[in-house]
Amino acid sequence: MSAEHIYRLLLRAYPPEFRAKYGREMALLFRDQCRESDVRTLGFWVAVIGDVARSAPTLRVEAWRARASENTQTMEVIMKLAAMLTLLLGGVIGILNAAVEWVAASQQSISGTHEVSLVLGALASALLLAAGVAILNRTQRGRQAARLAVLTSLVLIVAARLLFPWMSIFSQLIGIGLPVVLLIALYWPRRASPLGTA
Amino acid sequence: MKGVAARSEGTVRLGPGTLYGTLKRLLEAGLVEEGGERADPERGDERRRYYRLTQLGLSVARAEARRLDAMVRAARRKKLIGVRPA
Repeated sequence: MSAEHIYRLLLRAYPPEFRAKYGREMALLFRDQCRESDVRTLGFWVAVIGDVARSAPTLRVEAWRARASENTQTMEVIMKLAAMLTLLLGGVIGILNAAVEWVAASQQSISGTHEVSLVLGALASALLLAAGVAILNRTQRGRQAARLAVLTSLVLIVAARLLFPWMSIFSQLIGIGLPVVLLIALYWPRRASPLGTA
Repeated sequence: MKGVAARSEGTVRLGPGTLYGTLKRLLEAGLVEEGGERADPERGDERRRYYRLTQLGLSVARAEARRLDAMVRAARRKKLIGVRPA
């Protein structure tokens, strides 16, 4: 087995993407080293293995970190999409819920506070929908508008619930829980991007 | 690699792994750039990739050299170097 063949085996210690880009050049450089040194000496191989042992683990860790960062970015996109979908669904469900309650209540005599509470509930759901659209805008202004819409929606839904207890547990979970979770997500500190903030 | 060993009077010896690992980081930081491939007749005509310092790399190298120069001057003033032991 030639020295170069052994070195090509040692190159497997490096990350595949690094090997793909620099493997050929490293092997050429090693060939130069072989021409200029005595490959039969122990010192030569101690230096070669020492170089691989010093550099390969660091490059492996760097490659692993880069992959982890890419995965985090993918997760962020998935989470954003999930948040928008939930928000839009929450808005639609909220409006439908208020409409169904209105129809059911109107068959009997509906009180003034009940009416106001239903209107507030429908408004809160419409604001949730608006927040979803604002997030889709993906700008700083869109983000601010979304925060405002979600906060107002939360205030309205709490006011509606306090005025008249018409909402089911499920409706309350969506109407109050969704804005709270979304506000946390919207105010959560974001990682600094090397390309600047959106 | 021979150049580094010669300039450091044999105290720094770079292997291919250390050299290309450093080059990768310098490329990512924009301090060096690829200067294309060409054959080297002195080395069996194999095509070799060449790298050169960017303008940013040159500025960083100069700033680092100035920093080291200031440190060496400070060490001389404190008589930590440049004085023969008694």
